[in-house]
Amino acid sequence: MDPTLVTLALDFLALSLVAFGGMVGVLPEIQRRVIDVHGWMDPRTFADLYGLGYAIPGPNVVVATLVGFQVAGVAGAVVATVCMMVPSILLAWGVSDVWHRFRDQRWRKVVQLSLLPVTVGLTLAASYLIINAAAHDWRGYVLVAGTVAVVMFTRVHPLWTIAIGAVLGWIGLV
Amino acid sequence: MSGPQTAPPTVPADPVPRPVPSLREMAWEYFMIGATGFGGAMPWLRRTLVEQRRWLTPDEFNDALAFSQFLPGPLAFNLIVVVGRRFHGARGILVSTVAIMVAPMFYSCAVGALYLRFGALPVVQDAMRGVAPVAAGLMLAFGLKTAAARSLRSTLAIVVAVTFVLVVWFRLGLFVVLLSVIPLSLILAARRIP
Repeated sequence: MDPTLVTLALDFLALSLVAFGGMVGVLPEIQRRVIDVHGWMDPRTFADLYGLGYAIPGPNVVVATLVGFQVAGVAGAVVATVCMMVPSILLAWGVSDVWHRFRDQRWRKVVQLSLLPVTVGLTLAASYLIINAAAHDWRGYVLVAGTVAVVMFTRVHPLWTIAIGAVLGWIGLV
Repeated sequence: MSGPQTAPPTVPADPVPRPVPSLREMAWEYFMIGATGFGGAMPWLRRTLVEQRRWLTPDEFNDALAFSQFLPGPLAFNLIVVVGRRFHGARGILVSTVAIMVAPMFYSCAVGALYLRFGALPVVQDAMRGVAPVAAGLMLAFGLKTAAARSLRSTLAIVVAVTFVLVVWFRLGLFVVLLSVIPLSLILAARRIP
């Protein structure tokens, strides 16, 4: 079997079980592995793939699919996606009963509260890393800031901001 | 669709019998979310499961959502595992998780192939120069919104900062980061919950 596929599989199998807060939580680690550890792509390509993920409907696990495809084609896409999905699905399946039984237990609330700041920290870290990979110069940073302002203070759908970004880039403003 | 067109009752004890989805219905709805649900699956899942099909009450949905946020893994999958299991056991889980990923898998390979083939073209490079920062900005906005949660205006903010610094500054792997910050976070959280 292709060693790249095996590495891809092992990476995503492991990440599946530590993806607290969903895909965003593991983005810094995916980025670190595919760029720094394995040297599969440069930061800019990773930022591009993340951006393209917004153009695809459905669960945001497609980030893994896009990374897998970039690394090893259709086989890579399937391997990355399935490995990202299966362990956490099995875990969820196994513990969904227990979850209900401990509904009002104090420790459940403690664990739940304790995960929030971790996932927020990981999200902000992922943002920091991907912003630096995505912004080519000061205009890129201005566009990041503008997007944040639009999302925080208006009700514009995210997909529109992506489309506007594409147009701004196309006409050479960014 | 069956059922009266009234607002969902707010009391947990629901007098209206809720429709039980067949495997085929679940497969179709999840397939459609994968095929057309732009902007992430979560909002579409709520819309379909609670508002349109009424397979779940708002409370049941929120409980399933809390469960999916509690466990690791892509959130949408944790949620549909709970729903699939409840109505159709292991088969429900298998059908749901496959159905929702069929279309996105196809799209991703198509988009990935186009990017590999045309990504170096100037017009694509130009467009991506705008798309990538916007996508990054969307993530930052999401992070900032969650960071504004009231429960984080406390000692738990330390955990946010430490996590950020360990990842960004020290470039530590995720496993090391989690092993360092989760114990700290558990202690701080335990002190806040009586």
